[in-house]
Formats: sequence, C-alpha cells, structure tokens
Amino acid sequence: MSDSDFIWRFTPSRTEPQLLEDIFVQRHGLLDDLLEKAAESVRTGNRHHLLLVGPRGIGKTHLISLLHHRIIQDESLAPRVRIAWFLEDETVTSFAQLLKRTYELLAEQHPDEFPLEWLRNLLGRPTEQIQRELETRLVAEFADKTLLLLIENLDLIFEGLGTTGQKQWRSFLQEHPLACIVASTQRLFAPVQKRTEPFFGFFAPIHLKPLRVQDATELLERIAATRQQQDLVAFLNTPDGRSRVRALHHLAGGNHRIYIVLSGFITRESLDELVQPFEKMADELTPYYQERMRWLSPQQRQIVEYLCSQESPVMPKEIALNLMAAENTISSQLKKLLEYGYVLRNPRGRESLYELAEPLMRLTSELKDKRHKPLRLLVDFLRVWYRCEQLPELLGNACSASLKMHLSAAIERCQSSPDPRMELLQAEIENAKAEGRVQDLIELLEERAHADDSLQNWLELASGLFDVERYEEAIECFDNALNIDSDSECALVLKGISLHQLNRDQAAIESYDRALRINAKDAFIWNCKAASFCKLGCHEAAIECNDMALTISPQDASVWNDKGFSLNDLGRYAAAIECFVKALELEPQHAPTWFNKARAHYFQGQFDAAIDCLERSLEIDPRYGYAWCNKAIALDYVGRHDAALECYDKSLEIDPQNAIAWSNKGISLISVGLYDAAIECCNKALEIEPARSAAKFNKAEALIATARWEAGFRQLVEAFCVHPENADSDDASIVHFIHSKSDGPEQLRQNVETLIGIYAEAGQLTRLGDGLVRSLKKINADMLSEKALTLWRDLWLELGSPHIELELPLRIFRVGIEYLIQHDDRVLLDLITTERRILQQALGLEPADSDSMSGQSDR
Amino acid sequence: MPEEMKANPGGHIDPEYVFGRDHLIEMIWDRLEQQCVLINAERRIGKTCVIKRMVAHPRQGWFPIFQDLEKIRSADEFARSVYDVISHYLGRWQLIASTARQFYEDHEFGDFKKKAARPWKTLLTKTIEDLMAQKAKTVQRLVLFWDEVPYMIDNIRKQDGEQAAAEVLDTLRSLRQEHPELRMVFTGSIGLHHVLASINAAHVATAPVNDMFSVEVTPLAPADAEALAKALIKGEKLVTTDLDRAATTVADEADCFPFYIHNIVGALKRDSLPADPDQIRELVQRQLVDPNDPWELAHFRTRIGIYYPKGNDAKLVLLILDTLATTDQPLGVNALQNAVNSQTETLESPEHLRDLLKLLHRDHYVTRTMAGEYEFRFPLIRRWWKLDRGL
Repeated sequence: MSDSDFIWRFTPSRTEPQLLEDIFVQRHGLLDDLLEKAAESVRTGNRHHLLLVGPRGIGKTHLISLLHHRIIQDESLAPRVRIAWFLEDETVTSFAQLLKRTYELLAEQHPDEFPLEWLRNLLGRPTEQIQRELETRLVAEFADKTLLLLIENLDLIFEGLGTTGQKQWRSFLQEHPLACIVASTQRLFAPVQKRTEPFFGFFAPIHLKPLRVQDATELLERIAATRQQQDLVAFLNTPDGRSRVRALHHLAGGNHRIYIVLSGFITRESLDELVQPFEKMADELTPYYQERMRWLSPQQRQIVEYLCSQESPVMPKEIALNLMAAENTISSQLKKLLEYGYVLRNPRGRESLYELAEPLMRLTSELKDKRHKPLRLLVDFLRVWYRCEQLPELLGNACSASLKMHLSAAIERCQSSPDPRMELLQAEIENAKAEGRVQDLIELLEERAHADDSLQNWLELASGLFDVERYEEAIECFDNALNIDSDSECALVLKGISLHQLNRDQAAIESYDRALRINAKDAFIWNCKAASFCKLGCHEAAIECNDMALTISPQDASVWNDKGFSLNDLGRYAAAIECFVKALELEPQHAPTWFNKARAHYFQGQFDAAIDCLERSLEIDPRYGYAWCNKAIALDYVGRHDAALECYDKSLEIDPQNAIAWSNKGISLISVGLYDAAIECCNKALEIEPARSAAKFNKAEALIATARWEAGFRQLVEAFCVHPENADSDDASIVHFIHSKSDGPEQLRQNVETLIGIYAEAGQLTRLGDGLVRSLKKINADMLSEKALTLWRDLWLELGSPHIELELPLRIFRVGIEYLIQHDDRVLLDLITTERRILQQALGLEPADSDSMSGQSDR
Repeated sequence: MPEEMKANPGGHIDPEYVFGRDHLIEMIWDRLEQQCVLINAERRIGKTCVIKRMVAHPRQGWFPIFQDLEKIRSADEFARSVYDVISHYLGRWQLIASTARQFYEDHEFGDFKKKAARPWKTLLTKTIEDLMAQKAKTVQRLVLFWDEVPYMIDNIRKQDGEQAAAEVLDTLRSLRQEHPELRMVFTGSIGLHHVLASINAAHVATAPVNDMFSVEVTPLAPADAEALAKALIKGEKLVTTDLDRAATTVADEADCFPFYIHNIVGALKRDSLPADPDQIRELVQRQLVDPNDPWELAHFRTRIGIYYPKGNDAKLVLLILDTLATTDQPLGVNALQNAVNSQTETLESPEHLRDLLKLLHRDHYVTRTMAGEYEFRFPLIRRWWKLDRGL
C-alpha cells in the first residue's frame, strides 16, 4: 500500500479524498443532500446550518471531508465559496478568536484574498477593535461569496466561546448572514438545544446512524477493492464471509472506525494469524475506549462498567439494584447513554433491556481486571468466528497455553449456551424483516437454511423467494423442504402456486394432486387447482374443482367468484352471473366480484347493468383503476361520451401509465369530435406502450378526421406493421372521414387510391370491404346531392374492382348507395338474400323488413 | 415566490423566500407611519424573517437598519453599537454625525478606564439627535429594527442592575417623545413584560413601551403554509402521489408554523420517507412523543416555574392548561374556575384567575375566542401538552 492509500483511522481528514470516496458507504443520499444545501446557500440568500450528531468513530469527519472535497471539485460552486475548516482540536475562547481563526483558516487556502500580513498588523490593538476590524473585513470579503464553515466538535467551540461569545456570534450571523455552517458534535448540547439559548433551533441536527451489517459488508468490500483484494471481495459474498462480517459487527457495533480497524481480520484463517493480532488490536484500542469512558460522568461510567460485566441485556431495575441507585436515576442516565451511542435498547413488551452498543468497550475492564482468566472478548470472538464443531480440532492443534485456555473456554461456552453465530444470524433476520430489506432477508434466510437444514428454514426461504417472485428458486427450496418431509402439504401447495405463476400449470396440478392425496378436504387446494385449469383454458375442469371446493366450503365467496370467472370464459354468462350473485351475498363488499359481474353483463351487451356493477365496485374501492376504465368503455357503448371521459380521467389519475385507458379515451374524444385531444391521448398511450396497435389506429383515424392525410396514412401503415392480423381499427370511420373530409374529387380519388393501397399492402382488404359497407350508415344522405353520392360510388367501383377481395363488398356498397339515393326498398332486391341481410344490418334497417324482403328474394 | 426550496429549519432564510408575510409587513409599514412598533413572538415563529424581509424590501421613502441586540451586555455597549451603526449609515448618505462623533472621539474607549464614567446616555441621545438633525436633509426616513431587545435589557439588568436597564428603556422612550419622527421596531422572543416584571420587582418604576404599537407574529395563513410546504416538498424532491394533499397535511400538522413545516419536510427527507399524508402524520406524532423532544416543546412546561414564580401560580397554570387541553370547547372564566377549584383550593378569586389568564395570553399559551372564552393558542402545543402530561 502506498502512503496515499493509507486510511487514517483516527483522523480521516488526513486520508486522501479519493480514497475516502472509494470507501464511502451508507450515506450517499445524506452527502448529496448536504451538498445540495451547501449549493443552495451559495446560490441564494438562504443559509443552511447543519449539525451532524453521532458518537466518536461514527464517520462524521469522513462525511465532512467528502463534502469539502466535492465542493472544491465543483466548478460552479468553488469560485463562489470560501471554506474555513475547523478540525477537531481547534480551541477558541472568545468570539474575537473565532473570527481570527476563521480568517487564518481562510488565509491558508486563499492567501491572496486573506493576507496574513493584514491580520498581523491588527494584533496588539484592543481586542474590541480587532473584533470590529475582522467583522468588517469578513462582511466585505463575503459580499458576493459564501463562507462555508466546517466545524468539528462544535460543542467544544461553544464551550470555549461561553455565553457571551455565543451571543456575539449569533448576533453577527443574524446581522450578516454570510455563512453556511456544517458542524459536528458527539451529542446535542444545551446551547443549541434549549429554547432560552441564543442558538436554539439554529442548527438542523442530523443524527448519524451506525453501520448495519449490509453497510459494513459494503465498506469491507470497498476497502478490499481499494487494496485490489478481489478474492476478499468474492469471499465477503459467501455465507462464511457474511457470517464473519456479522462477527465483526458484533464487536464493532456499527462503528465505522472500529470496522476499519478490524477489516484486516476478515481473511485470517489460522489461529496464529488471528489470535495474536486480535490481542494486539485489543491492546491498541484499549486507550481509545478508556478515553471514551473518561468522557462519561461517574455514574454513567458505572453503568457502562456494569453492562461490560453482563452476558446479556439487562433491565434498568437490575442495574439500579447492583449500583445501589434509584431506578429513575439509572433510567435517565441510560437515556443519555443511548443518545451518546454507548448502549442499545431492546424493547421487550413494556420493558426495555439495555446492552453495550460496542462489545469492545469491555476492553476497558477486561484487560484491567482479568489477566489470569480467559479474555471473554476473545472467547466470544472465537465462538462467532469459527463454527462450534471446528473448535475441538483447533484445540487439538493449539500449542500455547493461552490459546488452549481460550479455546477450552470457548468450547465450554458452546456447550452451555446457544450458538452465537445462529443467534447473530437470527437477530439479523429479524432486523431485515423489521426494516423491510427484502433482498437482504433472502440472503440471510438462504444462509440459515444452508447452516441449519430444516423443513421450517427451507419453507421460510422459499416463501421469501416466492414473495419477490423468484419462483424458480422458490421451487428448488420447496423441493429441498420436500426432501426432508415429502408429505409437507404446505411445501406442495406453495410449490404448485409457484409453478402456476411460471405458467407451468400442468406441473402445478401434479403438485396440488399430491397435496390433495394427503388432504383432500382442503378447499384452498381445490381452488388452486381450479386456477391452474383455468389458466390452461380447461374451464370445465376448473369448474369441477371449484365445485369440489364448494362442497367442502360452500360459504367461500372467493370460490363462487372464481367459478363465475370460468363460466364467463366459457361464455355461460347467465350462470356466471348466478355465481357472482352468490359470492356477493356472502361478501357484498368485494369490489373485484362486482367487477367480474360487470364483465358478464358487458359481454351480454347489458351495458347499463355492467355500469351499475362497476359503480358498486367503485363505491367499495374508489381507487379501482380498471373499474373506472371499464365503466368508461361501457359508457362509450351507450353513447355517454362525456361521462365516459370523466371516468377515463379518474382511471388515469389513479394509474397514469394505463395505456388502454389513454387509447380508449382517444376513441371517446374522436366520438365527440375532439380530434387533437384524441391525438394527444394516443401519443400518451404510445409513449407508455409503443406497440399498442389500437392507439396507432385511433391516432391514424384522428389524423385522417382532421384531413392531415399524409400523417394519417403514414400512421395507418405503421399501425398495420405492428399487428396486421389483429388490427383494431375502425375501418368504417376511416372510410367515412375520407369521404367527408376530402376536398374535391381529385383529392377524394387520391385518398381512396392510397387507402386501398395501404389495406392491400397489409393484406387487409377484406377488412376494408367490411368497413366500406359499414360506412354506409354514417352517410347523411339528406345532406348530399345525388351527384356526390354517385361520384363516391363510382370512385370505389373503379378503384376497388381490380381487387377480388372487394368484389362482394363493392356489390353491396353499390346497392347501398342506390338505396340512399332512391330511398326505395326495391333497390335491395338486386342482392341475394345473404348479401341483402348484410346491407340491411349495415344500414340499420328493421328486421321485419328484412324478413319480408328475404321472402321476396327467394322468389 | 420561489417554486421550490430546500428545507432549512433554523437556517437563515433569504428574504425572497419568505412565504406569506406580505400582509403583516404592509400592516407594520402602515403603523410605522404613525408610531413605533413592538413585535413579540416565540423563538422560531419567524419574526426575524419578517423584519429581514422589511429590511430587504423597505417601503418607498424608508431606510431600515437592522441590529441584533442579544449580544449587548451593558448600556454603554448599546450606545456604542447604535453610534457605530448610525454613523455608518449617515456616512452612506455622505453626511457626518458631527455632534456625536465629536463626543465619541473625545471619549475614545481605549482611553476610558472606568466604565462608570462612560456617559452612554449622552452618546445615545446625541447619536439620535444627529440622526434627526440630518433627517431634514434626506428624502428617506430611517427606521431602526432592533432584534431581541428583551434579551438585551435582561443582560443589562443582570450586569448593571435594574436601574440601568430601566434607564435604557426610559431613555429610548424619551427619545421617541422628543423626536416624534423617530421610528424603532423592537422584537423579542421572550416577553418584554417578564423583563419589566423583574425590573419592577426591584421597585424601579418604568412603563417604557406603552407608547409603542404591539404586533403579534402569528403562524402563516393556511394557504401560505401550504404553498411553503409545497415548495419544500418539491425542493427536497420528496416522492408524493398527491402534492396538494401532502402540502395540506404538512401545513395542518405543523399548525402552519413555518419552522415546523421546514422541520417536517426536512425529517421526511432525512428518513427517506414519501410525502404521504399518513407518513407525515406518523412522523409528527413520533416527534411529539420522542423522549429527546427534538422540537424542544418541553420548554412550554419547564418555563412555567420561571415565568410564574409567585406563590402557587405555577401549579395553577398547570391546572388551567390541563383543563383547556382536555376540553374540546373553549371555556369561560367561571367554567375554568370551577374546573380548577375541583382540583385545588389555592385559587383565591376570579380576579386571580383573570390575572393568570392575561399572562398566559401574553406568553402565547392561550387565546380568546370572540365570545371571550379561552382556549389553547396553538393546537399543536395543545396536542403535545396532552401527550406530554398523559392526559
């Protein structure tokens, strides 16, 4: 390692900034925030005052160093800011001295702007005058710049300033808000905390949290990476590596500094490599912890010493008893120790148990008192570093008496108390669960399952994987569980569900069948099996399974709902509705059932009933986005476009990424003639889902409706390219808009020609023919002259006749136009019965007429 | 107003970023046309922001000077500080503070050995006289914004005694009377009445501010509080599905106090929480019950013993506040007396109760409804009081 790669443990401000960047973990968001606030202080008149609070070694200086580094690297900030950085050991005893020291620190960085000569000339004058001159100078220098004060151990600076100095400083900052302050302290102190003090509320405190195991792993990985120890990086990601990090965490208690000190231990395998350096490290760290103890009041020290002597967390009552003190006194001291980061609180019911935040604190008492006994810290360390079963072998190979003594003690403790590795792992699992760290939780569960191969551990891991949709891995874990207990109903069912999620429903059904052989009376399994059949499209089989489930559990509303769903897919809408009605009798407040019932009505063309059901579902769940969207579609069907548009808006408010809603809203807008708005909606739908063909067709239609021919036809071509076979176009409307919006016969001819070309190219002339016939209904014959209608007909007959696919539609279309010109039913007799029915449907003529005409035709 | 800004609880707020105070500021300028003004508010309610904005954007024809007086420990220091600042500004107008300067230079502080000999009153008087003499030559009126006056008076009282403290206030009052055009704005985060009470307790008679118009800085109007919350949520780039609802919730939970609005948004950012109404409410609840009392609300309880030292007053005040905290409706004097009497026998008379309520009103604990009944001044403090007292 070169000099520049050295990580200063106790004075990180001396470490190379880039190295500090490289090993920076956990607080990226916080550092970005500090930087943004400093930047706002530079760019506006706002001035932030921030106070980083945390015990020694928590990483305060590291953070401040990086803030300093980033600001001076920032080309937009650096010229507008000057930094005075008060390191940990700065001492000032008056406001005048604070100003003087600020000037000196500025002079170190910017001697041209802050010449020391000027300051020297001041010295010797009365203090008040020096203070005034410094104030005036700083105010003048920072008229167009910002002073960034970085102050470590602000509490000591305040102590030195005393009340008078604090008031002077505060007044100066009030009158001349030239400084942004980022300071640090080990704990909050009265002058910034008490409402009667001048600096009350002046600083925004930021409490730094200790490292969590995953942060510590990242820190160690980064340290290893800077030292180019790729093997170590890989090792840290193995279960053994993670276990060792937890062992270190157990000792370091989340303290950055101690982690950096301990980082060298992680790959030490042999006892010789481990124990001696551990003892050396313990010896080196002892003064550090002793200094931390000295910092406490006598009673606080006693409490910490008592906790050092304890094996497990203890209650304040017990501490009070042993220290012969009142319980409330101990509680209030524990509160302070908690705030200072010396102890941890573990809630248990209504009580709290306390333990050392850093087990290494025991060094202060152990090395002092127990030289003739095994060092408990080392015994514990051995137990968490090695697995219990490894210890006897290590003892057999040990040479030194001291080592033998420690190993024997470790083995003895293994026999009398639970495995600390598993306890640490379990504690970390609980933490990950409580903090919702899903990814970490899975890794931990995986580690536990491998360390303790039990049914419960595999099931819990599999469930964790299932929850994050890692179904393949979940299935493997369920199989591991089934290897331990092949009759585990839980494993079989959950494996089935995982297979179902992967669309491997045949295999899922096999798994359910195994479960049903163990317990055929479980309605849930039958219902799962039904869901798999349903997914395979075997709705009859699904319904049989639903019926089995209902035999066992007839009052299960969800099964009735599922059965209705299958019946819906079989097109047995009336039976489906019966099922939904039953489901709703049992559970009337289930919005999805109302939604499914609405679908059944919708497919039967009972739009009003569908709308009613959707309204019920929305009463129950007003944020049911699909229900809003489907209600809108149903409303569009009954011609209530304005109401439909409101529903689309609601749906999009809930889920602005619903491409279907955007696309359908486009249709609705076309219906009310708002073509530009429709185009916007289609664009939105296409932004979300670029291949959504319906949106492309709708957009083409809106463009054509506004006579933007080139763009419209281009869009149409594009739409056919996406999904020619399943085109979702309103061909009748497109034909109608070409007819109604073309300007003059020439443009009309050109547009019809282009349109036929596009449909021909896409192989969709049959669709065009169908659209042409249906477009007849859209023609307002009363508003058009006979000449115009004849022109329209002749154009199609001329341009369409070369295409065989259009032969039949053109025949019907020709007669349709004749009918519109003459308004004489007899015209229809030019067509044979089937063709005539098509035309009658297209024109929306009465069925009775159709029947009578059918008879006439036969003759 | 800016569209967005970072949460800045406790920091200095750029006058351009001060939300919702324009109406109050206009009212203060209107009042200054007639008389001097006394602004009283708790620490962190935003009074300094108000006066900083007034200083940054003075009404046409006015020239404001801002001084923070909390550091001042003696009458002498005060006079010198006023001299410094006024001579500086007179210099800006290219004029000379002739009389006062002469006086000051004759008595350069380096030459003075005995503080008692320092004629602060003459320096202060002459400085003001210079100022007023030069005023005729300028088109602008000068207004002195003096922040934390009660603290300064209390400092002087502690260092030089009650007599000196009273003398400073009386001198300022007589200067106002002698120079009807002179304008001062006093602000303070502790009630001046408490300092005056200490002075009066030493049998020094003074009524030095009853010629000034008293203004209270209240929390923001809901719409302004919401606008501030919105700017902060945007500035901190908090995740939210409904910015308007989030801003309304923040404003509501903070009782429209800008300091707490900054605090809430800052805490959401710190804890990486979305600006979601439930999260906001939960966060505020956590702050209110946090044993470390991050908002230092315990001060509203702990100062009672100091503010109300006579006899059993402190105990009675606790009972009054407990009663008001647990009653959903405002209470009149009779109802309050009954409630207090049911728990203690120390309430001598309704007059005693009225006196205490008057003081509680001045200390921002309670307010009166249009019907003359009493209730907690700030719902947030009432909410905290109930939690803190386990009511």
